[in-house]
Amino acid sequence: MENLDILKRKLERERLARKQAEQILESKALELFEVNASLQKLNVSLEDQIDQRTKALQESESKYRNVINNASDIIYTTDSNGCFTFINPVGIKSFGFSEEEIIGKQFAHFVLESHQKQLLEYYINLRDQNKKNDYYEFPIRSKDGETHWIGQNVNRVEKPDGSIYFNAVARDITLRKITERQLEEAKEKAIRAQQAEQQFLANMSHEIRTPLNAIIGMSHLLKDTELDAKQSEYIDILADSASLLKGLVSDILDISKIDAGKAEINEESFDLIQLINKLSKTFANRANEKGLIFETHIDPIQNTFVLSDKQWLNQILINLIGNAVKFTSSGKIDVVVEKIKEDEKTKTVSFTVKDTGVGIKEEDKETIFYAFKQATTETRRKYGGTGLGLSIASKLVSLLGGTLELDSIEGKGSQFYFTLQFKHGRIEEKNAESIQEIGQKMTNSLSVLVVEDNLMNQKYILTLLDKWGIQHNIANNGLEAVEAFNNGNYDLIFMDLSMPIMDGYEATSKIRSLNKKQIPIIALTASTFLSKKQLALESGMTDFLAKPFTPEDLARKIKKHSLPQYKDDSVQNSELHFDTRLDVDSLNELYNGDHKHALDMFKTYLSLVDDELHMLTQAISKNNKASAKKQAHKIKPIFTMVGLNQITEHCEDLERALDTENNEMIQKFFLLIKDAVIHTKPIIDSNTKEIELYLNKTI
Amino acid sequence: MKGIVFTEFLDMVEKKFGYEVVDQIIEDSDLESKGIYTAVGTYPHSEVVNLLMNLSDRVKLDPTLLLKEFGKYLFDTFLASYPQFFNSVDNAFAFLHSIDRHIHVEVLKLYPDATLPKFESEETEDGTMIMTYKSPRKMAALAEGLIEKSIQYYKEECTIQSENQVEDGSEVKFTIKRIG
Repeated sequence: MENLDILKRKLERERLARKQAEQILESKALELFEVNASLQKLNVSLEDQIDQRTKALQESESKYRNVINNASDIIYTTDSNGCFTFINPVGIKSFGFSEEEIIGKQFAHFVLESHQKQLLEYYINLRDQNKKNDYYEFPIRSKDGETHWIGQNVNRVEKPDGSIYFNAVARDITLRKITERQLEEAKEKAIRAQQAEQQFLANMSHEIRTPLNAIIGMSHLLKDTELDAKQSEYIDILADSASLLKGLVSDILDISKIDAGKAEINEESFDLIQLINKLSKTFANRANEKGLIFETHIDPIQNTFVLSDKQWLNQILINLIGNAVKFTSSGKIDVVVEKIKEDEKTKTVSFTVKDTGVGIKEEDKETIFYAFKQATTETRRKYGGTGLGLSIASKLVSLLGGTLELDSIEGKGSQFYFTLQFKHGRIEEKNAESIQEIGQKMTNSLSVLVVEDNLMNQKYILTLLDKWGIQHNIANNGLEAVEAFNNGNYDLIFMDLSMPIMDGYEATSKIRSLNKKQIPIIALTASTFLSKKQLALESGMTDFLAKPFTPEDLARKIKKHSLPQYKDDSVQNSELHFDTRLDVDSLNELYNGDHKHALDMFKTYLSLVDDELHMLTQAISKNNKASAKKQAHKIKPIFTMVGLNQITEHCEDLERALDTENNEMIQKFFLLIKDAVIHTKPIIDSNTKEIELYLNKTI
Repeated sequence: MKGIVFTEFLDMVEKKFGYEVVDQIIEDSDLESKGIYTAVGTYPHSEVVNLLMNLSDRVKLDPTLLLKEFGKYLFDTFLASYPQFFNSVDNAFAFLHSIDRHIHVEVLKLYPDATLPKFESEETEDGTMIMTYKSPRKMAALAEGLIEKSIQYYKEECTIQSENQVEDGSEVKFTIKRIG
């Protein structure tokens, strides 16, 4: 009975234990189920997220692919060896090959052989990070054999594993290159046309000046003969008209020279105040005749000598004062010269010409500075003139470094003013002598050969020489001149340039080749163009005398070249063998009177400068900044050696600009250098010849 | 305490003394669980102490001896259920080292709420193993039974000396020396 109870309890315990176990298991199963469900949920959400991200990536990829495929620029990538890994459709079109033909090929494969070395350098620089995505242009040969120009910026990209590749944005610039070449050709054509025009003008001026010279000369001589009152009056009218015509021709020539950038500045030392006084005297008479008051106000200046172009300054003031007198019928003309600043090296002076004349309308204030423009056609009818005066004055003021400005009220008067900075001039000890004194000092021992085919000009010169008691002979052309030179013993030759049978250049070369003593040969030229002078110097001539010339001009040349006591200081003074447009101080310091050394350097400069400039031009045009900088640095010192210190400074500026991305500045300084080199070359050339001549004389 | 201790303990009592004794000690012990245990459940530690003390009364045997015997019995259960713990080493000392360092780590992964005793083990230079049992449950005799059986399992012969480090038996040092 007891055993049965125990058994019952055992069974009951086991039943309850099973039940308990079942409950536990069930709750565990539920737990498991819930965990599983949440895991599944997590899984779904993870998959969703992956889906979304994949989709976003695909969209982004497709967006960029679209941009790249539709870009108007070429976009490509290459591996570190420069082999194509991708190229967009525009690129494929430009290269002209199929995608399969491009991918995997090395970049250089498509580039013209002439540029492969440079291209390699470009990529090596990029790979080694010597430079960052520099712009670079190069030609490729497309499948059809045509040359296409490509301009590109390449980026070096470093992958997380440290390996590199390149991606590039490039553009087919073939059209631009063609346009550039056409522009260059058009420019050359325009320059040639301009040269032809200048040549024409030079020829015309020669043709007009030669007879004009004779008319003026003859009227001078005629005035010296005995004349009755009527004849004297006619002669005066003749002389005036001829002078007017000469002025007109000069004006037209001047303006064309200035416009062509060929106007030279011939610096000389002169007395500024004396120039003003002389002008004032002339115009005061004319003004007084018209019943006008003429006053000159000059600030006291310590050293009145300045270094400038006397002729140009004179012409500016003549034009301005002449206009003031011309356009004023009553009232007053004031010429005011004020010292603005004066220091050790320079003085700054302002010039004002003020009148109480007709004045200028507001709307005409700009146009009156243009060539051939007078305020109105009415003005022209009433006052005459060419309308060139103000244009010339304005341009010449600019040439001398100033700006011509104008204040005017119509009907009340005008005021023209400008300010110039001058270097101090040398104070001249001796005052100019009169022609008579020169004539008296010229001895009979002097013998001159005049080579001139124009009878009028012959007569003019010979009459003057007779008057001064100088022995002379005439040769009608170059051939006669060479013969006469061989047979006679002359101290000086005046040589016309254009002559029949043999011209002046050839005759001079022949005479120089005879290698007798170095006789001074002075060119008589109607051309004031630099090129003509250049040619004359090259053929061996010593100096120039521009036609038409006054008796005073002729006398000055004779005394300069034949009378030792009158010779220009320059022969003794080593400083004066350098053109004043060069940095004379620095040159004298550099060569210290060693002319042979200077000559060597000048010659070296002339032989080098073209090639060096060419190399710089190349580097700039290829936008190769490193190479341009190297070249600018390299050529810098050669300019100092010939006194072109300004260009050296430009080179320094260019070097600095090349360190920046400022392409405008780079172009600006490069053009400054280029223009300066081209414009100064004739100066260096003629100065070289002068030094050579000096050395020959002293040996 | 994990249910397996209770189910195995009652199994052992039934095998050695018959179900009558099992019934008696459950009835004697006034248990909260009414003596209904499953291996997957968790029950108060005091119940096993209660059952052990009542068994000792019934069969007139020292509870320490009974606990040691239970340890030996439990070894066989462990061996049958978790053979991988025994196959991974080839000697008794290596196995004893692995209890604290390896086996209990795995047990805790399965039963995060289990209260396991600490078995610090070290070997002296002369090849003697020192094991220190630490547990608030004070069941070092059960541990001794397990140690003895595991030495036998690896067919080794050792002497085992036990020494209370704390009087209440919550910390006991076993010194195990190989014979020969």
